[in-house]
Amino acid sequence: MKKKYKAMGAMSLALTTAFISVNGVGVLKGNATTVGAAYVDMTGIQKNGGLHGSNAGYVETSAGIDESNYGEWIIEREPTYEQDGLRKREYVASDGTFYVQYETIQKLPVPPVPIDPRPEPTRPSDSGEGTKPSIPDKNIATKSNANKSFGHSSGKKKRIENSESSKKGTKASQSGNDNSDTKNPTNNVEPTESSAQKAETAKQPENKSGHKHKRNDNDSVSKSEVDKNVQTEVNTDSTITDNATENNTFTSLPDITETSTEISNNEVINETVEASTNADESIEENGSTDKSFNRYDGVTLLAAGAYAWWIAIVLLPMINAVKWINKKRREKSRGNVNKKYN
Amino acid sequence: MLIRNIIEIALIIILFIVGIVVYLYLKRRINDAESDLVIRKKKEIKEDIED
Repeated sequence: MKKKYKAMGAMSLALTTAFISVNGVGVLKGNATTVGAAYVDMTGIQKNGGLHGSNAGYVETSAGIDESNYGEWIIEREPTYEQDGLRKREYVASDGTFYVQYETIQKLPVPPVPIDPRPEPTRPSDSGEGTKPSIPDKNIATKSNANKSFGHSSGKKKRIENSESSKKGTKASQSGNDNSDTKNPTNNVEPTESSAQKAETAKQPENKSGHKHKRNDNDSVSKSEVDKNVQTEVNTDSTITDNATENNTFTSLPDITETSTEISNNEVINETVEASTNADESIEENGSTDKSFNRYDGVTLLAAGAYAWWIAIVLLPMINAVKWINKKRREKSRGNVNKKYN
Repeated sequence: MLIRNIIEIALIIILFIVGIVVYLYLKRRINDAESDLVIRKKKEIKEDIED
């Protein structure tokens, strides 16, 4: 092989090495995992109400996707006493595929409720928390929060199997009410409580995949029925207490809770819509910061190639010519000591 | 522009400058060798004049 081609090979190797060292190995490592949908739900989110039965077009197994590529968890909804939280993390692959991984955050554990049939005059509205009242000593707030969702009884029965543990918590939280119900001679509370219990069991997380849009819609759809249950329950509890002012405060309590939960649901819906509309923007932003091949890389690579060819065709022959000239000069200065041509 | 691209372009510019300097130096040497002028020592020139 001629020296010229050896030099070309060495130059190409050097440029390739420099390019890879600047751009990183990620240039060579192509991510071959492509999916049909722009958004991929890896672990899924809670499904409620059964409206969003299948999301096969958006679900993909995690094979071939490195978990470490995902960014930080972004909490979309803080967990409350009555509702699970939701967090997500995103990842934009080198081929532009946008992955979103959702994960539910378990709702906050309900603090132990003191067993007191007589409610104390202190109310969560006096604590000044506003949107998120603390759990009062009576279980009305717990029941009203439990009634925040969801759909019809046919959908609930399917979910009761997966929420055995949640039932236990529900029973524990309602033990205070059971004690208070023993003083109630009419026993009007029981059917209402059973419906509330069903509603709360339907609310528990299932660790299934799903999307927020449908779930939140389901919450809003079933909220009217829930309000009725809460209202009747409050009226039955008012028969226990003799104080009329306390009764008024009880009736106002579920309204506060429902409005707060409704506001939070609306916020979640708005965030979801914003996330879906800003998806392309986030892809573009992440694409500009990642190690993808951009136009500057193209210009640089083109210039490097032209420079390599110029060196191989022009500069290396000149270097060889100068070497030959120096050699001749040395021979001439030494008196042509080359024995071969003497 | 990303810092990665800035580094790339700066590296290419430096290589271009170095190549141009080397090219000009080699071109001068080759022109000297290809020219008809002969570099002679001063002593030889004086000897030729004396003769």
